Amino acid sequence: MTLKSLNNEAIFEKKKRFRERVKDFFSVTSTYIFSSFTLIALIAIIVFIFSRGYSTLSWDFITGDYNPTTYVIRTDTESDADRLDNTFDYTPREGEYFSSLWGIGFMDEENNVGEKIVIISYVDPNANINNIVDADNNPFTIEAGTTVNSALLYNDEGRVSIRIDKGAQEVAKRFDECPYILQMSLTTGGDGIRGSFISTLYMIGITMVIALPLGISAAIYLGVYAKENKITKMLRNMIDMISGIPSIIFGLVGGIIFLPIVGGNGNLISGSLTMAFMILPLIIKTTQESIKTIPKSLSDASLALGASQTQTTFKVILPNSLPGILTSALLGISRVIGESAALIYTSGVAILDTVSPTQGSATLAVHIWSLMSGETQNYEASCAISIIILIIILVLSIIIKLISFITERKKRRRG
Amino acid sequence: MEINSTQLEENKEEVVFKIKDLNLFYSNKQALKNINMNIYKNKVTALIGPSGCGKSTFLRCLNRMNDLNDECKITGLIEYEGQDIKDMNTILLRTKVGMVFQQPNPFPMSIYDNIAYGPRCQGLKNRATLDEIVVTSLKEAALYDEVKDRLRKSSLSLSGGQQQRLCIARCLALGPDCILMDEPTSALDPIATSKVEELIAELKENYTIIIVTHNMQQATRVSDYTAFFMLGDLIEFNKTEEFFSHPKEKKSYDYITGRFS
Repeated sequence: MTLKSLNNEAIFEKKKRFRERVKDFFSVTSTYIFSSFTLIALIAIIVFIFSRGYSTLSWDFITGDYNPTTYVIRTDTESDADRLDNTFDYTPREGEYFSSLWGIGFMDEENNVGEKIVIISYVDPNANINNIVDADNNPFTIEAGTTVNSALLYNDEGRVSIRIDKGAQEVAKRFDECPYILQMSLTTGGDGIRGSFISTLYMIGITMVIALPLGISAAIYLGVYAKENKITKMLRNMIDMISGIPSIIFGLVGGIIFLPIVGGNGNLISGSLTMAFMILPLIIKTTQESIKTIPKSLSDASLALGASQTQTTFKVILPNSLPGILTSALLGISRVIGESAALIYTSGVAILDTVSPTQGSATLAVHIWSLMSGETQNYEASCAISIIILIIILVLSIIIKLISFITERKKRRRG
Repeated sequence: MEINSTQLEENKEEVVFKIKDLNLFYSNKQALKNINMNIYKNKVTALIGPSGCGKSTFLRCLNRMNDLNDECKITGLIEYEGQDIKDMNTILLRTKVGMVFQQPNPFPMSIYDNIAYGPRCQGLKNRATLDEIVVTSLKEAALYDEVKDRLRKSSLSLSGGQQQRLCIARCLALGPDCILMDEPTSALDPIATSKVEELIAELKENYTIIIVTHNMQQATRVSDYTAFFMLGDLIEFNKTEEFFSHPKEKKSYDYITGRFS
């Protein structure tokens, strides 16, 4: 071999190495690009949901009624409380119109479905509202944020009807002209999710009460007592299969089976029954997996100490599979929180403020569905609910991670 | 097994286990073939032999732990103090014949609860009695002085040797007559091993002990009788001294002198 050929070989080697480096570079980059898509999707979800929903999210939103309350109020002419004759000083904000005679500010706004409305945006602490009563002659206090539906005022010259559709400026002007209210319709609150939140809690509670005992006992049977034969093998396969069935089919079957039992369009109990059957395979599988990881030497030790199989199950197997059972319960809870399709047919889509298990009402996820399925979509409120759901699920998954972390550490210490 | 039966007649010791024509099958494989032997009271019997020879399987027959395996079929007779163990209640049998496993396997509970586990399963609830049982069992297992300040601490905080003695104490808490030990020292270091061996020597006075071991030195140190198994056959059963000094079978001789792998 000459020096030249050696040199050639070295160059060839170099080329080969270069080609390999290029190959490596492309494969690594493509891996990064494709895996970053998932990250982008996650960020997109969070950014989109938070940017649209954040402004709507508030404590009032979570604790408020969904259905607004409407009051009809008037000036009580028979009351002893006299109208104050002073006028009020207030520098209105931008877009706000102030009635100095009443001490109330009005503002133009749009409601959730895009209609123009007028709201009372400011009420002076000493405003002229001390002789205003509602339909039952009870004293009434006007609060900021109330929507004005209609108003009929009067002054010495007669009645003055106010056209709300002309805007806040017109309303404020008319209020300045008239010292008395003959009839005024106000709307407060609304669009809150308290009812849906409580029905979600009910749904979780009832579902868990049904599904956990069933699921755990099934897992114990399959994991401890069942002998390995064709039937148990088929059972195990069937459990795997059930977890792949789309939730809307569960909803249909739940509607067919449970609605005739509870009657009507379903209630929280029929919804919970459907959910329980939906998450049963999940609970059975997770619990069974954790039973499987318990060392056989522990149950052997228990049996060798003269404990019966039942005692072994309850004193050794169940306590040691508790982390798995907890995990399965939390996974089940997050399924219940996020489920809408199966519940639309089984627990109804009505959004209620006073919830009871024997009534059909929407959970948070179904609430979103209801908001979005109308003629006009309410993205803001839907995104706000989504934020709540996402936060709950995030907390649940952190707890699950924590549980598995702690049990792992315990196991390592044992080993 | 002619030799064995003649040997047994010579012995005037009290018999705890009488094993006659014991055969054991795992699905199609025969794991034990025509075992005939006696286990004597307050003696240590060592079961030795190469891996897979059936000695652990034989041990597990004695407290019917093989019942847990559905594929396992047993023929023949095992008598415990004159009673066929097939007719005995398994729970009663297992309280009389305790078992210590190869790996220390304390329950992930406190030391106290570990020892009280057996009595509690038998329905004992009285606190004072339980306290007494825990203390005496720990003392018997020579563990009391090491753990008396931390009975409520987790059993997993103990060292491997302490855990194994805890398992022995757990077994003693039921007041057994006989203790089966399945390679109790194979997972322990030499110091812990010697402690367990000392313990076996002490326990011998009150209990019948059957110990499976891979270690022939251990068999000579702790046992009074030795049974040598090979491929499911009981090759030889004799007093330990005689077995190791004058083995009657050629296979035993080969095994003792290390000619078998």
